[in-house]
Amino acid sequence: MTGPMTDGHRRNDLKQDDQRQGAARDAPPLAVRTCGLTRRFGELTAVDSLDLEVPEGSLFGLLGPNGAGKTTTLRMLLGLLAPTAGTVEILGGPVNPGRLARVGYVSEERGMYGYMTVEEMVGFTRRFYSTWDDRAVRDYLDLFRLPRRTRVADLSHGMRSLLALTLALGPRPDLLILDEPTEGLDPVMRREFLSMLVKEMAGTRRTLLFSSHVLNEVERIADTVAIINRGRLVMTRSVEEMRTNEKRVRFVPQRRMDPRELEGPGVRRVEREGSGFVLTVTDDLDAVLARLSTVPHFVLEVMDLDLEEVFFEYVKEGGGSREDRG
Amino acid sequence: MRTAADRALVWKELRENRWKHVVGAAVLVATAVAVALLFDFVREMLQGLLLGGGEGVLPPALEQIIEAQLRSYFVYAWSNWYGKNLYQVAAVLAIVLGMGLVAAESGNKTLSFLLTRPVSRRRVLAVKLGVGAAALAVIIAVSSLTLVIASHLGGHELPAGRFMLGTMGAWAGSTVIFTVAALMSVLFSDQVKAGMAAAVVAVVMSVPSWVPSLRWLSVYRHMQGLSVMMRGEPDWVAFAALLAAGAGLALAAVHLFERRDVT
Repeated sequence: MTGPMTDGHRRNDLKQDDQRQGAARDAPPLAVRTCGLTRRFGELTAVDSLDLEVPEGSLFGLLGPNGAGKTTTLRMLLGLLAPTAGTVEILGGPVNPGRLARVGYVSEERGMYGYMTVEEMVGFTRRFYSTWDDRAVRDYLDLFRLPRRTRVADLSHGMRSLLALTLALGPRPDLLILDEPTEGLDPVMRREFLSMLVKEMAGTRRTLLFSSHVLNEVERIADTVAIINRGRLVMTRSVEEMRTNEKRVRFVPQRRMDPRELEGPGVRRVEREGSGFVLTVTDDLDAVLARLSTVPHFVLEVMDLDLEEVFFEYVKEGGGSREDRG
Repeated sequence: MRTAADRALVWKELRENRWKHVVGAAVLVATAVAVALLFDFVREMLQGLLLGGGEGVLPPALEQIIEAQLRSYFVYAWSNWYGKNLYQVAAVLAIVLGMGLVAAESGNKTLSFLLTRPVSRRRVLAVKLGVGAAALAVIIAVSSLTLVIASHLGGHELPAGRFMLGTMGAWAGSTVIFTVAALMSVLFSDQVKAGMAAAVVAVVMSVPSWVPSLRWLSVYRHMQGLSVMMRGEPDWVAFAALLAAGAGLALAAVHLFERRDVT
């Protein structure tokens, strides 16, 4: 804006400020917030200018291929790694022991003291928390059939995962952060693990943030998904919105068309298929269909995309910097 | 919860290092008993050395030391305990205890578990350092007391109070070496590398012992407690300097630990 500021301009600006503040008041509080979060290891940029917002009470899946930066991001959230640039807030502020008391964490390597028995590991961990729920922990140990007098080092990888989850849930955390939680679990254990997780989180204000590259489990439990690739956030949206908007459209026009004619808002990709085209639509499906229906055509067919297909759409091009917000 | 958390951390440290403590104590206790029991044998051997043609062949300073040890059991015990065995074994034990403080947790992948508990890094390392320093104090005190008791049982009396006063310097010096190893343990993720680096520093720290004008800088010389042996009172300045050095190294370790990445 140029020129002197008038009273009218001031009133408009104040009104816009009020609207912004009102929107901020209406938005759910955030369990996790990162701004420009960046982490470099020498030449490698593991996490690049990540702006992530995880609303309180959400079941938030962080998806990405191996080496995408998921673990590095989670470690920065917990204060295990210092960011090269940017800021991190969990549960409304910077990471500190007071906030860590409200966080449960299961690391990728399930690091626990191998020389302790399961019982000792539980006893050791519970002393750090005033909110520890003995009864719930006993129930989890029974549910997972974890042998109390066995040394942690003698447990299978799957059982260690279940013990790590039990310890993370013990203090009834407001924020549960799980790094590849079902890695190494057999299908039966995986099912038990996920069922228990969903049961634990359902109907509470507790937040689950988990990373995974197992897409069907993310689809099963997450209500919001973020895809991260090469350290950059390439998509964040609710699963519901993804189901509504992320589609593939097969379109066979009655005349010869250049693919560029089909590009436009909401269309991520246009691929030729025989005499027609397949459009990958990520937004404004109705508007795209309305636009296509004006062109004389033989076929106009909408196909659902599952999370796996959406995931490949976003990562196969090698990252990209576009962020879709739902 | 802070006290409960502290107790949990102390319990973990003791549990984790129990075999190091037991083996270290066993080696020093066995050495103390051997020092007491071998006096007559050593005396005969040294007399043989002096009378059997050794006189005039040995350097005069060494001859004086041998003669002093033959005249007094107190001098013999002090020379062989504080002047030799205790500081050497304690230095090795201090390195062994210190090198794993953080590096072992890093190697065993337990550091991320520990540091995501609601307790500050400063507190975690302070407990680790405190437990290590306390373990050294107990092991040094118990083994030195063992020497006093073993001497008594062997028919040689040691002035217990004065003899035990020598543990102060030995403990303060071993704590300095322990904090060097702790610092290396923060810097290196591999405890073997941390131990090797600490050993190199410990060897470098012995250099002033060989230069007469620099001996006052030698940690090992102060660990021998010559002031207590000769005058009956500790060298308080040296003791304070060792404590200050240990505290400085501990603060440096805490400072680095608070900034350390856990990958």
